[in-house]
Amino acid sequence: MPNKEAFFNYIGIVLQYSLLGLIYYFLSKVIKIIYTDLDRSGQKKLSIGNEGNQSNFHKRANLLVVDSGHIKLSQNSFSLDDITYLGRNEQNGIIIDDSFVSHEHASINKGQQGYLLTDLNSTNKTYLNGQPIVEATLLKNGDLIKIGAVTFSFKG
Amino acid sequence: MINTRQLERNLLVVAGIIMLNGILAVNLAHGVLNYQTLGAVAFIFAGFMAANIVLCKVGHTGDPLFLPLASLLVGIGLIIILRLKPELFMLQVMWVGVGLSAFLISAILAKRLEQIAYFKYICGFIGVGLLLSAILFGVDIGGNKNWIIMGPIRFQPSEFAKIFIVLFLAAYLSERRELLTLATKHYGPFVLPHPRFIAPLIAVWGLGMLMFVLQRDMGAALLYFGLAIIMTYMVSGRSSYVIIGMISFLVGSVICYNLYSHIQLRVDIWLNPWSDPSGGAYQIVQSLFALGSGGIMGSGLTYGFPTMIPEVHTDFIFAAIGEEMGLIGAGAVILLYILMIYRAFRTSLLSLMPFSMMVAAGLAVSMALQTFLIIAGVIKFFPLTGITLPFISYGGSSIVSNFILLGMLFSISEVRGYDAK
Repeated sequence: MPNKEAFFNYIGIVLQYSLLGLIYYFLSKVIKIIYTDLDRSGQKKLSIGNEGNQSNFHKRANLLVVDSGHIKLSQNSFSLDDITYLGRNEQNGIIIDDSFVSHEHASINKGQQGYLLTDLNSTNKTYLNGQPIVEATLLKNGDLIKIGAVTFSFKG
Repeated sequence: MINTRQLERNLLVVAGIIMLNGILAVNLAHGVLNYQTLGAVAFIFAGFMAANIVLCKVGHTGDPLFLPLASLLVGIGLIIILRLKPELFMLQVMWVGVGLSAFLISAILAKRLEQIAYFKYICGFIGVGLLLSAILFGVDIGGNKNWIIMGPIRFQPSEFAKIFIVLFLAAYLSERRELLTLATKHYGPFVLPHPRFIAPLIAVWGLGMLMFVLQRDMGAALLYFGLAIIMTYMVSGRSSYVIIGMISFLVGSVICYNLYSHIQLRVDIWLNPWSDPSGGAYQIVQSLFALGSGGIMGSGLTYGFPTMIPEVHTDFIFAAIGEEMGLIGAGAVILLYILMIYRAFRTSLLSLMPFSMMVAAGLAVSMALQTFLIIAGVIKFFPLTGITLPFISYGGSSIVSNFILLGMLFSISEVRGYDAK
């Protein structure tokens, strides 16, 4: 009988270690899935970026509406002219009917290097990627512009 | 490309093998093979596989990691409970079964999550009502005065209240996100949000303080208050809310500390447990001994003495893991939580609707805060708290409510797939 007991003991010890080993095997599998997942979304972004660059020569830049709050905007995407005004007035190129938005809130105009975002002394400021802008700022692809409750993404 | 459900199945099989391995190790150490426990393992494994097959049939394309991560945490919990309190093992197995069906129901029902936003005030009232009921009619079981007994049923309302509170806050905040961001008042150099919009936060603060004083439950108070503050911060992106929240919580805590002796006692135990190691600080001192004697590799399942700690199978289960599975095992458990919370935040970020985004983020924060607070309490990083470790601790309310929470996260992680098509 002592033989059997010793045998059980050995198996017990092996199981104690294999338990921890298996838990880490599981963790490594999960992390591998997460890794490939991140990798794939990274590749997707890269390809979108490339397309953007190629079409840059032909197409005008766009403002995509990311979050419109509860305000009704006329379109989900606005193409930018040489100069585009944003604000509450009817005369603006992009009308944002919100009490937090000034009548003439901001403008985007095409310069030599690209599109420049300017705040037109608005009451509640124009935010670029979360920071209020103080002077005309050059826009990059994917920049987030926030005016009142509305957030646009710049594509160009 | 491998199907997501196939991926989930592979991981579930590994988690099942881990659970079988652990249960066998405990059985062998006791010297007898208990076939009942092996049957229970088969039942749990079959339950998870059945959940996988049902999700496959329904054509659910949710995140394939939630269910396997939960199944491994539940498996570790069952192994530890079998070792600590064999008499509670079968009950816990039953609760996991109930939890799994709750998971499936909530995963399928939460597809219509947007409709819940219409009932946000009802959700808020249910949540606050559950918390208040625990404060007013709470019965003391095992040192925590947060049980409600209704005839044969007894449960911990605070475990369920957090889901309702998250739903209410998500609906309320996502509806008012512009106001919270933009409406400001200037007080000298400070830019503060308009008082009208902080009112609900003040209400949550008051509720937290009430729980703190009457229930002696700092953990739950911090959990709910932290949830409200972090969700407001996520919606508005304004750090002033966090600063106001922290200051008001500190002020409230200091006032309570000076007014009530039982809170002073709690804090004194936390600051210096060695002044009274066999009296008031017995539990935390035993927990520290357990963690210390575990070391890096641990003593091995059944070879430690975690049963010295009172309430080891619920609040202090992490100390038992630390003693018997060592730093390696405890670290793995923390990693599992980190991965789960990461996936929950990822779900939130990938979700398109503001409401479901906030719900996912709120559920992620509640799970993260709860795990952080109880582990911090067990390792004496924080004054002791009376909340459970999600999915691992023994307890029906905890298991079922966490499975419902997971089902909602799972469902939100799918909605995006629909829109992407």
